[in-house]
Parts: sequence; C-alpha cells; structure tokens
Amino acid sequence: MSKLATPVEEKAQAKTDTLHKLDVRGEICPYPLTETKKAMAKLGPGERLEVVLDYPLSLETIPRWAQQQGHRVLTIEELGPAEWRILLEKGRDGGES
Amino acid sequence: MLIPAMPTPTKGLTRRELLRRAAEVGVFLGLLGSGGYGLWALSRPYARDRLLPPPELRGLLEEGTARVLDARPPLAYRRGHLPRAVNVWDLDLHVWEDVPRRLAPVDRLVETMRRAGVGHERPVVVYDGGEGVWAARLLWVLDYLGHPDVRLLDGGLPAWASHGGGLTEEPPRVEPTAFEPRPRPEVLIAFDELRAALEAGDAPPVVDARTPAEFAEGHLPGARLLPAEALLGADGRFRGAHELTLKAKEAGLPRASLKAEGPEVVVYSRTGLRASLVYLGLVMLGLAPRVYDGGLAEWRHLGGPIERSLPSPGQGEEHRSTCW
Amino acid sequence: MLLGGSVGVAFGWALQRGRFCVNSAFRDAVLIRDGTLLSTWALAVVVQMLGLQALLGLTGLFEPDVPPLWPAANALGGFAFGVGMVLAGGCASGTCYRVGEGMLGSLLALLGFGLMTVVVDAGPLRPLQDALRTPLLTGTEQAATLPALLGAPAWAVGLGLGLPLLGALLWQAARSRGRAPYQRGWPWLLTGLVLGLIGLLAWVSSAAAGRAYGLSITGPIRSWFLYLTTGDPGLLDWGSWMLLGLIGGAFLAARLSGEAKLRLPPPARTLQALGGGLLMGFGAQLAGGCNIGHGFTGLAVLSLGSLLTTAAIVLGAWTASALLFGGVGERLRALRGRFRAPEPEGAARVPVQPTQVPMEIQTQTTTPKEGS
Repeated sequence: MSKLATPVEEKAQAKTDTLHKLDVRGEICPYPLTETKKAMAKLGPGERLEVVLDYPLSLETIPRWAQQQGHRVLTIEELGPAEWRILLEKGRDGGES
Repeated sequence: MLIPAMPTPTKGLTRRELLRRAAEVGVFLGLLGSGGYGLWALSRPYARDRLLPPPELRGLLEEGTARVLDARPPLAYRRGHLPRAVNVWDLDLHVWEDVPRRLAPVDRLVETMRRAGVGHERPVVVYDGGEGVWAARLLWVLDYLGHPDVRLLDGGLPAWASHGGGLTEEPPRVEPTAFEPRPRPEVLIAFDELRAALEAGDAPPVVDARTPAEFAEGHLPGARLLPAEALLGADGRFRGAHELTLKAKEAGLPRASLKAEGPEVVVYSRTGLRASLVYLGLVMLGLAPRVYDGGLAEWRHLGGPIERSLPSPGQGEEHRSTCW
Repeated sequence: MLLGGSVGVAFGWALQRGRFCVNSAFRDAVLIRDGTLLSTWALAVVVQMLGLQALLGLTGLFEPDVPPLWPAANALGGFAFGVGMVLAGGCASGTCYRVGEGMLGSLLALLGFGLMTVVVDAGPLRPLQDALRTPLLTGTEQAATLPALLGAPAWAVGLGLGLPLLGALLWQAARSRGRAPYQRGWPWLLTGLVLGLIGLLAWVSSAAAGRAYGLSITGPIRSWFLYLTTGDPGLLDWGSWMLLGLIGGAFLAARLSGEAKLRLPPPARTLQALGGGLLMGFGAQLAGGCNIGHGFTGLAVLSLGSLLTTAAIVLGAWTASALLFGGVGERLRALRGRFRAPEPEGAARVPVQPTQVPMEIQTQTTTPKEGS
C-alpha cells in the first residue's frame, strides 16, 4: 500500500467534515467520472468525496477534471492491486484562486 | 491558490518498477526488431536482377551501347518510341498454326534479331507500354536464343514518362548484325516431355500464370496458381524481391538456391504470354523456370488431361482486403 | 507470427501505459472538455502519416493497401461503431487492451464484437454488407485517397496536412507545463509519439509478412472468429498475431504496473458492454474497419473511406455521449468551443460553477450562487 501523493495545504480546512463515499469498482469509461460528477454535484462546498475505483484511465481523468472544476484533489492512494482511492474536496464557489 | 497534491519524492525504484522498465526495454527492442526486419526484408534485392529502373535508362541511352527493343505493336511504335529503339513485335516471333502463338522456328527468330541489330556483345533492353507481358515475352525469346544480357525496362513507357523521359518518332538506323544463336532448350519444355513427366510423377512443380477464375475452370494436373498480374504493382512495375518470394512461397514453389541454378519449375498460361512474365519473376528469384510454350491452348488441343479444382486455401484472395 | 506478435506486444504495452482510447478521446473532448487523449490520437496519426509518406515517397519500399470508399457502408458503419463504443466503454483497441487489464465487461464486448463481424461478413447479414458496400469510385485505376482526389503526390499532401498539425500539437505540448502528479501512465506526448512510431513500424513489419497494411483490429478479430468457426488456417495472418500480442502486451504492462485484476462491472453495465460490442462489431465490419483500421492506419494513407468512417465514428460517439451522459445543448456548446489542452497546474483559474445538474457544469455564466 503505497501513497502516490500526499496532501498538501491543509489550511483550507473544510467547513463540514462529512465524508461521502463512492464505490465505482468494476466500472469503466466513462462511468467512474460521470458518477463522480453526479456525487460532487450533490455536495456542498468543502465537503469531501472518497472515490474508490479500479480503472486506471479514470485515475487520471478524475483528478484532471476535478482540478479543472476547481475542486481539490487531496490524496490518491493505492489500496491494493489495481485499486485506488481518490479523496476530493469540493471547491468553494468563486474563490479558490 | 489551489495546488494539486505533489508527487512523493522517488525513493529509488521499487522492484516492480525495475521489472517494468526492463520489460519496457524488451518490448521496445521487439518492436524495433520487427520493424527492422521488415525494412531489411523489403529492401532485399533480387538474386538475379534483370530489371532496368527507368532512371538508369537515361544513362544507358546516352552511352549508346545498349540495343533497345520496343515490343509494342508497330502502330504504337510509329507514334513515338525511345530514341534508337527498334520495333520487334509479337508477330515477328510467333506463328499461328493449330494453336495460337507458337514460337517461330529458330532461323526466323535469328533473322528478326539480325535485322534489329541484336548481337551477343551488346546488352539489350526490352520495353513495352507498361503491360509487362510483351516485353517479358521478347526477353524470354532472347534468353532462349542465348543472349547473355537482356533486361526489361521496369514499368515500361509509363514509368519512363513519369521520370520525365521523352519519346521520338525518328526511325533508327540499324546495321544488321551477324547474330549467332546459342539456343538454350532448358528455358522451354514441350508437350510430350511435360506430359510424360506428369504421368511418371517426376515433373517439377507446375505454375499456372493465369487468373484465379481461369484456373478454376480447368488447369494442368497438380498446377499451382501464381497469376502474372500479381507480379506487378498498380504502377506496372515489378513488386520487390521479398514480395515476390512470399507469393512464390504461397504458391508452394521451392526455395531458390543462391549457389547453383535454382530448382526447376514449369510455367504455363493460355498461350505463353503471361507465362513469360512469371518466367522473368522466377528467374530473378533464382529459380530455373521452363516455359511450357504451347500453354493450355495446346494442352487442350493435344488432349492433355485437365484438372478442375479451386485454388488452395490462402491462394484465393477472397478473404483478404475486405476489412481492416 | 513473430513479426506481428512483437509489434502487437508493443502496441498493447503503449495503449495500456498511455491509457489510450479513441472512445475516451472523442467523448472526453465533449463531455468534460478534456482534449488530452484527442491530442494523443492526432499526434499518433500525424507521426505515422508523416513517417509513412516519407518512407514510401523516398524508397517506394512497398505499395500500401488503401481502404476503398464505400460511402453508405462507411457512414452507417462508422456511426454504428461510434455509438457502440460509447456503450461498450471503449473503442476497438481500447476494449482489447482492457481485456489485457482484466476487465471482464470489455471481454464480453470483444466477444460480441467478434460475433457480429462474422454475422455481417459471413452470416445472415452478408446481403446487407454487399448492398451497402458499393464503391463510389469504380473504374478508376487509382485508389480513393485524398491525394488522388487533389491530383497531387501523396507525400506532398501528407506533408502539407501533417506538418502544420504536428506543429500545432507540439506547440500545445510546449505550452502545457509538466506532468500532473496524479498521472501514473505515460504523458500524452510520449504516448502519441510512441504510438505513431508503432503504427509506422507496423506497416513495414506487416508488409514484410505479405500484408501491405498497418495496424488494425477489426480484421484480426474477424479472422480469429472465422478461423475458430471454419478452421481455415489461411485466415490467420500478421494481424491475427498482432492482436494476440496486443492483449498480451497490455496484460504485461498492467501486471507490472499493478493495474491488472479481474473485475466485473455491475450487471446492467455488463449487458450494456455486450450490446455495445455487438453494435461495434456490426458497424466496424460494415465500414471495413474500426477506429484503428480506418481511424488510425487508414488515415495515414489518406484514404477517403477512412476519413469518412472516422468522421462518422466521431459523430456516432458524440451523439451517443450526448444522449447517455448529457443534454444536447452541452454537446453543442462543447462543439463550438475549441478543444483545449489540459492545464494541470493552471486549473485553478477555472471558476467553480453552479452545479445543480451534473451536465451543466460547463455553463458559461460565472455568477456564484450557492455557498458564496
């Protein structure tokens, strides 16, 4: 179990510490991403979403998409063989930059 | 400022990463090997090249040492031909008796060559309008007469024109030569010999140079299909040595030996015209083809046995090229 | 066999490591306005095309086969294939490399794909294929290519089209900064270059094996299925071994990256993958090729049929994506917008959008509502 990335910049602590979970193991293109989108849409700013997936391509597209949207990618972890966990935090509207 | 999570500093390579890199190198080498082999194979020359690439013709014409023969019909010849080229047409080489296009008697062939100014000491270049078969037939006749250096202009006049070569209408001045034939009967096989060998079961492999459709309608017993048209590319030029080797292999022909004269094969078509083209291809691969000059026309006329079967699997083209 | 196999292993390896999927490339460009894979694809096509045209123009090493132009079959087949690949969650090559990763849904899609190629090519749908595959340019000696249409030499058209595109892609690459930390696979530039090189060497290797075509997927899948049902060994050629190598190479790459595992999507999705695979097989066989045979290799010889098929595939993929994953308005907006390069670090510049409906994330208004 190796950490691929470490969280940086924890200062913008989320207002609500609720952790939502999304398990998209087994899903492939583009469902991990679309499901993530749907889940993120339901969250409030600062809320976190944990996505568990086993599809390598989405492991790259989800963080890329999240950044484009202004969400924060907190951690990406490898849980085991071909299984990963992405921790996302919903960005605050308007001002993250 | 939103900054994405930074990568963890690399703490040396893990075992898995090492393995992966090693495999990556192996995979890459395999790719290069495959591509490299392809490049090498495709650029392989013919064992006995008898083709003259159009660009080389220019120099040859300037030197003026070679005798250039035009194998097209006289009418086409008169409308424009290569400088100093002499016309030797199909009718000058053949007779039509009982069966079409039989090789004329040797003394008549020799007479034709003398008038055309052909001599053993001068190299000969033959060409046609890009069909390949007329020039190949003339080349085969000259081989039969024992001329030591005959080459075929690859791609014929269209290829010459696409390299910017021009034509002339000026008739050449030709001084008749004293051409002494040294007939090579080994490039020819007659009906009786072929039939006897087939019946005895010790005939060399027999190649049918016609189309798959003609082949299916009836062919010599045990013949393999190698269509003359498959030897030329869309531009009328000969396919490369490697491609031809594959086609010969597909037709089940024996491998050429590079040291000695290659294994014998028999080639025929309907009248021997297309067989001459395949003859040239196989000679270049290093085989020793013999043209059954009478062709299927004579074979039928003399009552030789006919076999009907489809080309063997892999010889038909119907599975190919329909989908990628 | 060895020739095709080794190219296939490299192909599968590169696909897996580069996460290359034409389906995702077309879809993501619209769905999430992520042009990374699209650039990869374009780069691979351009590199292959430039290399091939230069090689053939300079040496005339072999004469490439050119897919014919069958307007009806190309358009209809391409569209069906485009829809199918969105359903199946992967294009022909994407599905194959995912089989190597252990995705059972993709395996099912592949089986459906193969079944339909045989059904269309040798089964009850053969009359349809015959009816739709009417060539537009009959009687002409020349193959239906863009250079033939323009009356210019192939290498000139190849250079004229390829160099500006290559320049644009490299400029884009130079603009995007660095490698995103979450990226475990190859950067897109490397993937594109490597795939282009593989495509080029595939032509050479395949021609040496007597098959004057480059990489393809549909033909080999079809030939495997036909071979398994008829037993005619003449059906297997360079491409067949390439396909086996592809799956093996993808498995190897996934295994050594810790990304291989047998996994099954939820039941509904599994059925969807099968349906998508069937549709892909139908379309690809009809059109005479898929996103690789037409959309990669055929483009390198500038075949008109391949251009048409590729356009139809894109259209099919977009239509299906719009219907499945989002409103049509979203699609149109994205169509209007340029495909943008990903900007890993600069992403924060994009303001967060009101997100009531998932697909409306891209709305152009920037007025913050909730949470401000």
